[in-house]
Amino acid sequence: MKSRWVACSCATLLLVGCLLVGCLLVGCQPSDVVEPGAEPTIKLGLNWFPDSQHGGFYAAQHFGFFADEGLTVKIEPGGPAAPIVQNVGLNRVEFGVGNADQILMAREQQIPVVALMAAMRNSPRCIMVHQETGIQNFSELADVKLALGAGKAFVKFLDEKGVLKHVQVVSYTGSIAPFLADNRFAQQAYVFSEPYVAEENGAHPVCMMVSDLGFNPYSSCLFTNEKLLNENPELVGKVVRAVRRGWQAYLQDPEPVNQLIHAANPDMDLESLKFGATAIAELCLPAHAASDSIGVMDDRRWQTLKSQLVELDFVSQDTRVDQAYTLRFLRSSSPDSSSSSAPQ
Amino acid sequence: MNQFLGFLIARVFPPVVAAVLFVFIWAVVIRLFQIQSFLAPSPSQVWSVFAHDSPSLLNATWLTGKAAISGLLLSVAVGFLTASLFSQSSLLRYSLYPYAIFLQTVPVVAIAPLLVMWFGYGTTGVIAVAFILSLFPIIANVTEGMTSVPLPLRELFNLNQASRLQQFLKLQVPHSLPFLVTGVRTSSGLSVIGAIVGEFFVGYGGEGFGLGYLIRSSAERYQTDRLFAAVLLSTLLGVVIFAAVSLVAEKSLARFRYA
Repeated sequence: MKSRWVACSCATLLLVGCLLVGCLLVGCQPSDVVEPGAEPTIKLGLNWFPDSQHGGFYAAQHFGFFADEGLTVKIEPGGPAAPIVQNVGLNRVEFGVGNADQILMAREQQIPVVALMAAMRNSPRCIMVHQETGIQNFSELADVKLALGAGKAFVKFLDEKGVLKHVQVVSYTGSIAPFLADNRFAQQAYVFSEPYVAEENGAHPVCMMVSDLGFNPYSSCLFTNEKLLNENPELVGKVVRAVRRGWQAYLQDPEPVNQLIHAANPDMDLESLKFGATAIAELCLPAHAASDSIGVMDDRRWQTLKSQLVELDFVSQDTRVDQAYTLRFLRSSSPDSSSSSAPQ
Repeated sequence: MNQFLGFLIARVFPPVVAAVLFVFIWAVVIRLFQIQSFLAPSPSQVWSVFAHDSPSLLNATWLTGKAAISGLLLSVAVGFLTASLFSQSSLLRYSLYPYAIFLQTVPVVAIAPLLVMWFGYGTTGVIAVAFILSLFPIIANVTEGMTSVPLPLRELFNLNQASRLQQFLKLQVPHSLPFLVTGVRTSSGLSVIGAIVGEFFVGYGGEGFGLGYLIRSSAERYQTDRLFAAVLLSTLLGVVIFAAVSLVAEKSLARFRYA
């Protein structure tokens, strides 16, 4: 009888132990808090493998703009399904890079992330078809296999617009091999990236911008979490300032930064990074935009995005769009001067 | 009646209690450690997904189930034939069996996009992945069954001058059937995994979407509760296929086992 009790208690202890270890792994422990005033090492998590869409962040590193603010920043490359939004929400990573629609979808799921600036004012999202199909615009899109990612807001948007009626939608595998293999194959793409690779491989891609249809979320947004924003707004202001300077510098002189990106991600060769930097400039600073306006966002665009996502049933009407972003660091910090006053 | 009650108490009651306990501990842990819902949802959140989304969840389970079962049946047919060939020629067996192991070790996530290109988009591609993942346990088990007939039985057949075909049909095949059942049981779970991995990369186009797509799109939208619901349905699907295989085996193969 006694040995039975011992066995039972051992089993219970083991169970409780397992639970505790499990919880530790899941992350019930409080995450590191950045001490105000100290020279902190902060982490910036990218949403993808390093490429042109991260140019400004690497530029801030390369040209020492983070150092000018007294910051040590570690850029952490992402990849497919990198849980960057969740990690920033939990304050395991202080800053992240993502698109505006992701931020709103995260808010919908109570992940407390806040967008601070938008590197790309216009979304790079496009649909890439072969020139041989003769398709020039969305109204002509028919009789192709179209590879699209699962659960993406822009896909539902295209569907609602009736664009996908005459195509066979298939899953996007992340590779452009099927595109290269078949003239009647089309796929989602970022205009500064896949079209170049396709052309290098002998294809003649035509890109149709999703933003032309009216779905245009800010892209490559810098975001953080509410906790850091409330506890240490000065630090957040410094990072925003450095990153905006970084983007300005990258658009002017991408060459040295591309070397750094290439070193971080050897799969991206310098030629395609060069193409990417040129293509991305128009998205970051559309015609007539002043270079010091890099990163700006406006309320109207966020409101529009929210109503679109509500219509697509991706977020609910209750989602507070005003909590998903802040303009305070864009008003008070001119990216040109590192000595401007701390944000209000 | 008493027998039925006994069965209930012995076989049904314990797993139900275990399930209830599990859900209870799950709920308590979520509450106690204040785990945010995007990290891990509470049972009630997952339940409300089932309550609100059941038509699309069931449709997804149905599509995935169809693909998994098709892949499993195909692997039984091809696996049985392959094993039959292996059993007839040791040269063939020694030459090709090591390569059959490739099926087991190949990183299916890496080759799934290739399979899609080879077999086409839509159901065919999904079935192909399920098939490849389920094939090896069938080949391995049936080959084992056909080549491990006890010596006295073989001697008896030889003594009576049975032809090779007779030996195969009346001795090796029956002897391999329990092994086949073990193989199919192992493969039943693998076929579901295969179908889901296939759906990560393939999708069904206009026919709707399977559990794999649901898992991916929920992750994309940070809907952990929906993701849990889809994962639960995937595991249930595996259990149901496993139970069906066991039932069929029990009913149809009893003769061979207890003869």
